[in-house]
Amino acid sequence: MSVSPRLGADPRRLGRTTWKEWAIRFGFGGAVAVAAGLVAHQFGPSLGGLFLAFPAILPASLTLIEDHTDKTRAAGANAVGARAGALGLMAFGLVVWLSASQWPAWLVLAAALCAWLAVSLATWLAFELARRDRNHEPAASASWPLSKDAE
Amino acid sequence: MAAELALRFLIGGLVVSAFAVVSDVLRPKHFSGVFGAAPSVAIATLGMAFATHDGGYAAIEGRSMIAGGLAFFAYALLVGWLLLQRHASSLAAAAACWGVWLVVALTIWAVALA
Repeated sequence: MSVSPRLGADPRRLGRTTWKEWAIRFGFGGAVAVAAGLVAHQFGPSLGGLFLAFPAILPASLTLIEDHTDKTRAAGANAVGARAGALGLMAFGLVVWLSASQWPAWLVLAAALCAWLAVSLATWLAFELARRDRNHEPAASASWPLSKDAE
Repeated sequence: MAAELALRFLIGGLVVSAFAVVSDVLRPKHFSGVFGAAPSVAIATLGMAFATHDGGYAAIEGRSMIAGGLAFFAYALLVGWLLLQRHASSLAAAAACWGVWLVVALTIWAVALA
């Protein structure tokens, strides 16, 4: 069964991102990581751990999508997809919580990353199938109800 | 401390940028959005936690991250609604909803983890 016939990658999109935009992403990512460390240092790992799931990539991505395509709907679709990744973040945290005291660091992070990917993709698939079922779209011929340029 | 913060900034910036590349090239956008919620800050922060503390410290951070992830879900839900239903600008919606993320995360933390 073809769930989404247009899933793929387009490396040419990287060429549209300017150095200034890369610098903003890098700076913001670094700043959030520093802030998470400072909160944990000041208030302890329990409060600091919240910031491990801070929305750091999504806001920059949404803004760039809107700048480059002038399509708020495409940015909205991106945010909808992030719901699945957010549930994956919970799985990531669960694996770290249960294994960090017993396993080596590399194994904890690798297992948590696999858990994030598995849960995120499975959730995205479930959301997608539910959406198509709601819209009565056949799976093989269905397409996201956005205009083509919104992709 | 300054060296640790500088290293944390460098690793955080690199990991966030790497996941942003993946999110940029994937299509369609509702699929690439999954990578907008990648554990970029978590990988950078936990890597440092393991290097400077023991596994128990990282485990506590992981437990709180579950609450942060639930707050992220609320954040993505609200941002998606604002963009698709209310036609808000991306920057305004994303920035305004950081407050929502913080309130939801702190509430769950105060109720269940503090």
